[in-house]
Amino acid sequence: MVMKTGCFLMLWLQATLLWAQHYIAPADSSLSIPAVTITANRLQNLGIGNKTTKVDSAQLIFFAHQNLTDILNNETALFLRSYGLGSLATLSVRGTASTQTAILWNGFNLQSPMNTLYDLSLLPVFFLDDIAVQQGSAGALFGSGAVGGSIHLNNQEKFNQGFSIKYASSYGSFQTLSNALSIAYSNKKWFTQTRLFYKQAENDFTFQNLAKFGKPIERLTNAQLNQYGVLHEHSLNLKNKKAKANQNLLALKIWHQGNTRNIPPSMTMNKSIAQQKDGITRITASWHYHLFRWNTVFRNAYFKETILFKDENSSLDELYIAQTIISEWENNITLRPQHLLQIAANYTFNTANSENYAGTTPVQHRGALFASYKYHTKNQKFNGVASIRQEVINQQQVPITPSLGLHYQIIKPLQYKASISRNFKVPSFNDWYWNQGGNPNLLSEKGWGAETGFEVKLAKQYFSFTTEQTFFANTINNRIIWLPNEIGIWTPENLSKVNSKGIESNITLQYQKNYFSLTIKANYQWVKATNSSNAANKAEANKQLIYIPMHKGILQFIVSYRNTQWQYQHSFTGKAFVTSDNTKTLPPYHIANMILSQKVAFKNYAFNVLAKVNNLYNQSYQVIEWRAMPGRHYEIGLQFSFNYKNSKTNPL
Amino acid sequence: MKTNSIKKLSAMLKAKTAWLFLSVAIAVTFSSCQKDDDDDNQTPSVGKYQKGVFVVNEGPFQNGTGTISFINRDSLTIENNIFDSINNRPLGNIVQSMNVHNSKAYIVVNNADKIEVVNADDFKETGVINGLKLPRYFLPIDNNKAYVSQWGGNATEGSVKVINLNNNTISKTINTSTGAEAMLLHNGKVYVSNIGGFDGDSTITVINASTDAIEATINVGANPTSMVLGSNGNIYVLCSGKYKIDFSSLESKGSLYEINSSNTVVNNFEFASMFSQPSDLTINAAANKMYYSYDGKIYSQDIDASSLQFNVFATRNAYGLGIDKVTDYIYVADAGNFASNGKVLRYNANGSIIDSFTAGIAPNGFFFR
Repeated sequence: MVMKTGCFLMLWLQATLLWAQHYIAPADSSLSIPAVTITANRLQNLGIGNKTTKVDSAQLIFFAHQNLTDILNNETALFLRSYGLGSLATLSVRGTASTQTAILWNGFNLQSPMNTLYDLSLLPVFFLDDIAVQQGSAGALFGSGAVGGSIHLNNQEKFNQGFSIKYASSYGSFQTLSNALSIAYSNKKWFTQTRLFYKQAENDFTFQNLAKFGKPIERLTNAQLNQYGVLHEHSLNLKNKKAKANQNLLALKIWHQGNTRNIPPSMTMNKSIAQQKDGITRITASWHYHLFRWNTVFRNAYFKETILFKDENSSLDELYIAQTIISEWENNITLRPQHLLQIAANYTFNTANSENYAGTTPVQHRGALFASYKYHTKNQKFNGVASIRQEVINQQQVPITPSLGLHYQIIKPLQYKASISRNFKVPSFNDWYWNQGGNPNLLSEKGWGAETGFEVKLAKQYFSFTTEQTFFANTINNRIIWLPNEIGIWTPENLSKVNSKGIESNITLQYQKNYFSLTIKANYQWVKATNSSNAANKAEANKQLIYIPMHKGILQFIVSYRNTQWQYQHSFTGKAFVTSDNTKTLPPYHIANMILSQKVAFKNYAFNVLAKVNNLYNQSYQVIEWRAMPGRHYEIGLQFSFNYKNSKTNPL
Repeated sequence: MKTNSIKKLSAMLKAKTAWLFLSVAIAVTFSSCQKDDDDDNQTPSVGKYQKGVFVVNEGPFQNGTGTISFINRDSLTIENNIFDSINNRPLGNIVQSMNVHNSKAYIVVNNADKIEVVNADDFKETGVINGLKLPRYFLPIDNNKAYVSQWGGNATEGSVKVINLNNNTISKTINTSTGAEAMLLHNGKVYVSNIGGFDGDSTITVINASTDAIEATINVGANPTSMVLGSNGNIYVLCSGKYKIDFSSLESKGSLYEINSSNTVVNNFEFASMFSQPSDLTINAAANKMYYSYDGKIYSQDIDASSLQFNVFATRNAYGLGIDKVTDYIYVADAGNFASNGKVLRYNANGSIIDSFTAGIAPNGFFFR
């Protein structure tokens, strides 16, 4: 099946190229891609031929009091598996599993070594300056887990900005209260910023319990959430006029977060008294040095995550502790003006303590070497990159992972792109060591992903128009699934094979004149992700995977006039199967959100008031079967920002 | 020429096509915004379940839902998950038992503290009995009244809830001993075996079914699980015995008690094993031969035998036994690993397997209709 799709895509690719060569004359003047920019960001540098959805940074302010789940739901057509308001949410990109999306914070993978998941519902947007989702496999660039895609969460150090304060407070339905404060100071040598975040919510919304006789209206219980976090950033700019270096930067980041949340019952349960407490500490230190053609980044991280899970109903009282050390050395060498070579090495150490590992403390040493070569023509019309990665896990080799990507500008507004990549995902500690059932002989999940597409960008006077169409196909082998063995113990095996293919389509239209602007965005994705025809269970063969809706689309309107803004976002999620033989589905649903905001700006300070209506049409829906979702609910927010720039702080 | 045409093209795209794209996108999105019709499909399946065998599947232990399967005696086919497929919702966590009374089926859902009520013929939902705490079995008394045994809070209490069948509410509570379990109606009296819940017990409570008053308490072996009525009018009680607190071995072994109509124990036999507990006492249509599960086998026992006979009927780990009074076939529920679909096997009276069916997860018993 994937072969067929692959062939089709290749044909389509060739046909497009032929068409382009024969009928389109080369364009003449300026080009949209910038020259090889040397930043520390591997996605920007080398993510060529991949589709990347960047969250508009102007939107971050509207989600300052919310978590990553909320902004991704509003801004992208990605499908998030959410267990409810404030409950676990993970991302499925291009029909892959939740564990198959790498979550990278300033380049460091945050996926827990225990279950290789990351809960996006507990990551404050306020702690991020830049959010991008790269769709499609990129194992060579981002390592294990970048099978369906990768989420890139970055912080920016801004020098020479003086003193600034940002404060955001909000209150919403279900007694949701949040406060966020950031204090920053920077001159040309020194940047320091501290962000504080606190959120609490009862989340006791009413819903119709469809699992009970008479479908009564009930109020959700045991859903309280408490979340606090601190992020310190310090950067030292060592560059001086005498030194030859273009850049010489030391950066330290410390993130501490605590979450306490109760786990509400599903509609089929009478009640729940389960509670989860998380404690997260993340410390990273990096050195960025740029001298002529050599640009190097040495980055190190230490992560510790403790999870205390209690459920007296099931007599569970478990403590999990996971620790990770990551050390990466990245070198970018500009061989000749149009040739860039990146060589990097990564060492990752993982360990975890859990009663479920039968007294053993699993330890994992992972080493990776990777290299990329990027070339672009002098006129920037063609950009191509080839990458390769070899990873070793506890002396065991993971298949070598290559990738190829290219951009080609056919005519001025039309750009063609394509990429192909091998990918892999290392099993989690739970897969390997869980007592009982863990399987120490498990291999990494591995596969191939390919995509092709085009992008058109047009602009005239007040109008601009962008569209991007992407076609993709993936195959994943050795997929890990847990099944009962001969003596009835659930155990994971490298059993299934999954194929997926689909289309991602975006259109953005903008009109801007004087103080008025209108932005309309439409995103749509179609994903067919199926078990292969030789599935162990015949009833699952060629059937769509569970919890992967085939259709998802969003439509977004943003109208602003001077300091007033109105936003309307409408999303459609198609039906999703909940049984692997596709006999049972969750119905499709529409969710609309609206935001109204008014900014009042003075010389040094500004206020922003915003009001939000979520689930405007009060749609009753389920993302995960029998997990209640809230109806229409409201939020109001007040934000304040202050900036004082000393006239002595000269630009660098 | 070429450059001109491109300029034209892009100008056109900018002006017209863009708006076309937009209006199409909006139209498509909004036209698909219709509300879902919630009407049930109008195909009545009257009589589908009028005659046959219902299989009670407990379901996976922690978060899952139990199910009911239906075996058609004529077509010899099994239909799984019938409650959900007809009512479009799950039964809930741990389905314990099912009974049919006045053409209504009462499905006892243990962990969900409720009894779902459906039309037995088509399995369409008609009501629910709430307010229970770890309910076990449903016993119809008359047209207006039924008894439900339950273990109560923390599974360390025990009572019989009297149900008003006209409005599916609890009208009275009869406190028995710990962990009220099996119930048997005979001569206007209800015999309740107190299995002990998460503690222990060794009594049978006798209740007057018309006055709901407790008439007697009979001492039997530790943890009485199941009862049958013999053709001689005596009641046979299988006690599974009790494990030591550290689960190292049995503190009290399993036993079989026989009680006559004047509430007197006339016989009792002890099982030898220090580890295996007998369970699932059932009786044939003639009410003269009993079957039970013990030590990985199914044994039979004549009601008038003077000792435990240990006649091996079949070698199989049974999680539930039932005898179809229509065919006198013995039904065996094999729960396998308790996590994936279990099996139902049919045996004839000689102990040979007739056929088998794949049921739901953890099948534990049957209702023959």
